[in-house]
Amino acid sequence: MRAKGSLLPFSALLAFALLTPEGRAGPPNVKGKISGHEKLVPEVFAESAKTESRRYTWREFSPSVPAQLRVLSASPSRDICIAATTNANQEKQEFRMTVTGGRVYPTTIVVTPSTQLAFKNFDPFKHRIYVLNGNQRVLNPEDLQPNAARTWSPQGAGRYEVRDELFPSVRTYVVVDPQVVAVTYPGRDGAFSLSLPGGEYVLKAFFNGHPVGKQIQITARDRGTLELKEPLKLDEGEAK
Amino acid sequence: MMILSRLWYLILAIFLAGAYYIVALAVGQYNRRNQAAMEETLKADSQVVSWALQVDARRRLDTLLGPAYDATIVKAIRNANGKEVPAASREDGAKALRAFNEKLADYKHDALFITDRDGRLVAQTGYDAVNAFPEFELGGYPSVNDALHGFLRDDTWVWGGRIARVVTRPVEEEVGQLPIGAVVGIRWIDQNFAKELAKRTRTNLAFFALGQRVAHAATIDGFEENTLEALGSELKAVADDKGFKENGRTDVRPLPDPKGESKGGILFVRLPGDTVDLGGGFAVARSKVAITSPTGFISGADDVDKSNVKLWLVAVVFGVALLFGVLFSYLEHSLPLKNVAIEAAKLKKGETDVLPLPRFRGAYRAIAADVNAGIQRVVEKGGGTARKPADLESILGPVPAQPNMSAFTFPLQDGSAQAQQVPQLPSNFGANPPPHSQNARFPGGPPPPPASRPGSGFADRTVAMGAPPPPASAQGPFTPPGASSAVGSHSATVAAVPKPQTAPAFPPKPKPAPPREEPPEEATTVAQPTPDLIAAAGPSGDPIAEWQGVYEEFLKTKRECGEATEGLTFEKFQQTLRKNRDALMQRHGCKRVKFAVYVKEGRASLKATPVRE
Repeated sequence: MRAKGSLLPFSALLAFALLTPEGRAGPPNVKGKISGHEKLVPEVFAESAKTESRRYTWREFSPSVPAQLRVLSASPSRDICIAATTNANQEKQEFRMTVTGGRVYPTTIVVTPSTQLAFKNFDPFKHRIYVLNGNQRVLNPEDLQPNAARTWSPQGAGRYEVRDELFPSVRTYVVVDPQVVAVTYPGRDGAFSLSLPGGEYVLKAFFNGHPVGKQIQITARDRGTLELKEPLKLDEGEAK
Repeated sequence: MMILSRLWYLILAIFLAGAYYIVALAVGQYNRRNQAAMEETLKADSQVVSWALQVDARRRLDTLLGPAYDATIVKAIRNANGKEVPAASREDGAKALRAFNEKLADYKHDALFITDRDGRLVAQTGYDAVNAFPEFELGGYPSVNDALHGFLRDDTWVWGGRIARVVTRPVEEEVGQLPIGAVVGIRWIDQNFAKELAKRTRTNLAFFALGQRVAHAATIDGFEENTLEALGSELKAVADDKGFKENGRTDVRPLPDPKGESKGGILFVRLPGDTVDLGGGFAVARSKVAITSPTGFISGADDVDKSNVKLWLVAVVFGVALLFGVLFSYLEHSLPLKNVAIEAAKLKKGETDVLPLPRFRGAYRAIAADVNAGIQRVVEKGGGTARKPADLESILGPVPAQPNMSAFTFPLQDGSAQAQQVPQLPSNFGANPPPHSQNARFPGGPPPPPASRPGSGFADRTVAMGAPPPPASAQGPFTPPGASSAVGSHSATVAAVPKPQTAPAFPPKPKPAPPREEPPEEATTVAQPTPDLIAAAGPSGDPIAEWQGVYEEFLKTKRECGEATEGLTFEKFQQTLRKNRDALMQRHGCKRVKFAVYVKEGRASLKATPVRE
């Protein structure tokens, strides 16, 4: 496992910025939807809401917001990652991780080994992010100044956790899967789309660094769009 | 002996030591209670500051009610949701936020933000640094996320080393729906905020985060504000403090001081919010006035303290102590010395020949006795007649040995002293008058030959009875002691003090001093008994009344000399006098014997004077 913490010039970051999380250009040929995601609560928000966490002195609900809506559910576009995997190992990719607003998003991403992740700071103050693999630091904290970026590439399969010394609410997970082809993030309505080469894939949903819901097998075609009839149910079981 | 003076010194010493002991105890108690009071005050301070922060957060939350339902703001957020934030939304939203904030009289926000439902920034006021960061957003903060899900709450953030007190509130467009966005208010914890809060809570206050002091303020008089600037080293220890990590507050810790001397206490309390994980909190501090020594009460007193002291009581204590000291020193030093001076003046004028010992006490009596002895010695050297007690033995002959007994010893109750036998006169007493009886007329003259002894030809004799003489030596019953120069004189003072039989106290001189006439008071005369004395005599012929007086004077003198008087009853006393009187009357053929009390070598003794008709 090699830690890499060099800052990239802004010009190089522009190239990364052009890459979408889907990792592949072209019109989407797979469309689907997720369900049950409103029941997924990011652990950092759940912990902060507890009284014993001492994170607040006042916390009360707005009476005009119904109780069923006052669930600290995940934001699909930032917290729920849909990954398409095959049986073959894939090439490394490049992704940009946005550092701002008390988090590094997307908060869960599935990548192939050696994929280069560029953490760019969009806050007007510095961050000090680091990466953990279990309890072991694989990337030591360093100052990440405003508008600066820091790259890191996970070397082995597994689950990595990105933290920030200065912002305890930062809790981002990097899942390394050698067979992942592409990832995408649903919108607020749960709809998602992927651009995949023709072939068979397995769709998996990830949240908080773990697979959630049932995984489904699909066959993507080069021509035409595959629309999934059944949504990916994130509140039923866990992907194997 | 100056007993009272020395007792007074003892009292003063005890009082002084006691005063020091009490003051030392008072110092300890004062410091201990002052420490406890300071700790309690600090805990109260921390609570007050916590409450003040809660009230501040509550008021700021309430102020957000305005922008949360402001139509312009709602519209700006609605137009920004789900797409690129329009410039109109940014401008209108910012304008509405500024207008709202300016209307606030109290609890103005340093910065205000509105976000869309994903937490993206729509508009802001007071934090223009974000204008250069179009992707800046706030949705990852738990408090903003709470607001986006229908909760209002407070939080504490640390942005670039600055602590921000944060309040968030949802922005709702329709009842029964999720909020379309959130409004966020920020108040920086800076010097102004610290001063404002410290003034409101009457505390000395410091805020810290990430191991650094962020702001501080002191409002209590006497507290050095720069003390709070030296919290750096202490903050590292606070981060590891078990109480701080588990309970959110430390115990009262010594206040760090650049000089290394803690002059107070400080208590650290965790701030609620994200700062929990960033070592953020506030500290309240107070100084304490410690008394380091008993004199600290004096150096630490101000004018009010001094004015509260009852000076009249101090003056009374001083005056009484001084009065007793002077009084006792006068009674026991100045007065006896004055007496000595008077008697010495009399001696100088010739009114007296010796210092009257009964008029002196203690060491002065011993000094007077020494002076008298010196006078006698000088007189002797000059060839004059010295006043000396006659040797009873030289007059009365050998007296049976009775060691450790004075001229008159009296049987005591405890049997410590047995009744003394009346010395028996030798059978040849008075049979042969000494051949040099004429020389014995003058005390201080050459000692008489061993054979000389008082004979019946003496007109009268005064016999002083001190300790009984030792047994007669081989030289004969009338071996004269050194002081027996008076033996043979017409009038002699005789002492029955045991003296060495082998060596005279005064070596014999070649020529005896010419006889001279003794002063009237020095001469031992056989006085005529006064009628009242005869009348005072009892049926047996004993002058009971006279002896009673002698007895009382004898007791008094013994007490003055520090001798025990227990068991010395008058019956025993008069019995002894009677035996001595009878012996002397038999020896001298006198009608009666007169007894007098005097001091011999620091002990009470009796003189017996035969009185002839």
